[in-house]
Amino acid sequence: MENERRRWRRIGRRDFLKGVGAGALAVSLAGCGVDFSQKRQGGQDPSKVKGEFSWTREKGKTINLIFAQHPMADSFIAELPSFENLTGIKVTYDTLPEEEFFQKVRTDLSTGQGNYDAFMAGPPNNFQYAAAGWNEPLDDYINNPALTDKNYNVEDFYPACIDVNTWDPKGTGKGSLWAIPANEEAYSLFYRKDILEQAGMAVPQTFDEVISAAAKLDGQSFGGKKITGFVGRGDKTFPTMTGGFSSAFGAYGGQDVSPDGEVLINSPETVKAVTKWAELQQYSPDNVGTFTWYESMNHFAAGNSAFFIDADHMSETFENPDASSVVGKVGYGLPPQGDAGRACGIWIWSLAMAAASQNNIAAWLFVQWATTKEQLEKAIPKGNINPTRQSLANSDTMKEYTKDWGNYNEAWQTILSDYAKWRYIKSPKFPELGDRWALAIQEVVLGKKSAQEAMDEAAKDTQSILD
Amino acid sequence: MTSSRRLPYLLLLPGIALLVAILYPFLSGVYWSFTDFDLALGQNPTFAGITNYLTSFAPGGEGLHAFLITLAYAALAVALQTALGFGVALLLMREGAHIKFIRALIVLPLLMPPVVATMMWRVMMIPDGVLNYMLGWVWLPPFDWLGSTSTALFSVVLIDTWIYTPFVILILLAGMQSIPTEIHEAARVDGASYPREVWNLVVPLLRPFFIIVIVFRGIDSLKMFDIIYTATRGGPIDATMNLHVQAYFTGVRDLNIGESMSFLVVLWVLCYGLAFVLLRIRRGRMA
Repeated sequence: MENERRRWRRIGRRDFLKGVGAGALAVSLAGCGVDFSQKRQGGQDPSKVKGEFSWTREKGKTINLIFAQHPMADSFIAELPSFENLTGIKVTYDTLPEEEFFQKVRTDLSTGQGNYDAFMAGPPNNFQYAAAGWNEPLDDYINNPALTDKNYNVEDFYPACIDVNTWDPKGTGKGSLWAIPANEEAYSLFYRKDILEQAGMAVPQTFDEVISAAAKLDGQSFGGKKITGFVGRGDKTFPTMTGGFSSAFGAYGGQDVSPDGEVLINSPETVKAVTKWAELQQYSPDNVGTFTWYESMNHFAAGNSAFFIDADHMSETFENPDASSVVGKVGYGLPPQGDAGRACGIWIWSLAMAAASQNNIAAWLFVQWATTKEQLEKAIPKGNINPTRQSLANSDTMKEYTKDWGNYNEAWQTILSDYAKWRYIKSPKFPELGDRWALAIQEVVLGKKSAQEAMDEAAKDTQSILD
Repeated sequence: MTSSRRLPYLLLLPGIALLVAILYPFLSGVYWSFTDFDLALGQNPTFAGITNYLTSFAPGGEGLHAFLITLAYAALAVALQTALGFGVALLLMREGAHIKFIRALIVLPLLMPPVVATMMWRVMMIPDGVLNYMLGWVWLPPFDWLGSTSTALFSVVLIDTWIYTPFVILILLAGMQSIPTEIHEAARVDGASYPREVWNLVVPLLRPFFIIVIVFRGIDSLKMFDIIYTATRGGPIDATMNLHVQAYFTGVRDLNIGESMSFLVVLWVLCYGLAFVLLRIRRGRMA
């Protein structure tokens, strides 16, 4: 008995652990062979669907959606019962805070699970997902009269919005449309009307004028508050590039990457744009390096700054008495001029579809329904601005919603139709490149390096990421 | 006979399942750190040897920078918290009703989610925040806590210290209470002064407890993520970018899983090394 127990022990512990360890290693290595490059085509081929268009075509199906927390998502979710009534499709959905949302979507798409049939996406996501073959090109759906209502009118969307979502991962030709734009922001020069009036100053029109006005107002007191001359995003991640900085970048004719893949971020034009932006940021709060759009917006909404360049639809916050102490005091200006005129970037929230979806036609019916003129108009009073359809810009709903917001409804339309454009490389690598460039801008703003020095180094690093 | 032969293996099954569940993700991660696995490219990972390690941890590479920040952060945090925790624990060894109250109060920071505590400190550390206001009381100039590359690491360690010093206090206090009073009395009869008593008696007897504190706080601060990410996201520039935050940016934002895993493997080696060495020392002493 004693002998037997000891024998068990001896075999049991040492050898067993070794055996299990080796087994686990083998299983792990086998598991690493998951195929990440497979083409994940699920569901029906959209070009082969025939017949009359009908909202009830996919009756009885269930689709699963995922949204980031955003007024656009809320406005769609509130209307879901009417979609279910119209189509007979059952909808389940998840809503997550932005960061967790991106992780969840990436996990689901990259593993090809196809748990989510349609999802919310921003521009860099489209590039990442499309390059990997994770999301579905939508042209075959839009061009098939059996799948798209003849009243849908895709021409009604602002060209700049469609352009952001159109991309060819191979870099040749115009490419496919990867997502339908549903919410738009471009970048306005916000100014405090009351402060400019009190100081006897005109609204600045060029970057040099904004810099000198910010310098004069910085540190002065208005309404009992000591203000900073300016505020803008200063965080070291790519949204700093796509936000207010994109106005300086475009206004001085900056370029990031040439068509043949050469990084131009250290060209004289871009270096000048960075220099001007850094000059302006000297009049921002000292800890501007930690400011994302959220901190910047709150700083301005609390009445702490004279100028701010960022997403025009932040008007929603500025004109809300519960969130702002500057209600009725904000002017919505065009992006300031530089050597190459006025310019700014653009950001779109869109609806996209998973390539692995088994219910792709039902998912398309949802995407189509959510972006019809009728639904996007219903979404306006729920806070989904700016609309992406031209016919809604001057609709009564939009006029009514923004009636107390000064010149807002004219300003955003001019910015979108004349100046807004996606200004950076459309590449799955954009977040990584953008993060590196934003870091260089921060180095200049914090006075650690000269603009030329910082951008030279950033160009070198990002060239090696691209090559 | 045969059934009693199989039974032990059968009983081991849950343990084996657990072991596989732990080892499988870990070994996958280690394997990926030797590949060019990049989700953004949508290609299957191919074996790349030690390329990830060579490029990141070369002089000037972001891995090497993050490695040094990780070490600096952990060294600062552990040193500060051990010293402070030891001092406070000594004070709390006294008797009295107010001491009991303070002992109960002192764990409060530990009960708060670190992200919430960090948000709170972030607000206090803004240029017009309450910390600079208080500096003004003693005629000191305002301090750019989180906004400057030269002070951010220190400020983040300060937040860490506020949250985790109570943990050190709790452990060391328990240790001090386990020292028999006779030893203290004997020391006093022999005429030892209080500082001498602390240095020659309490400190050596607390040695195993110090090791526990350094192992736990050391590993925790080596792999610190939540406080740094909430306070500075690794910035300004890269002043607080440790291995864990760097791995997050590389892996989750840039989708470069291979490189990200190489950071995490190095972090794992650091943590394992620390625990291994300290527990060795402890076992040696005890035996």
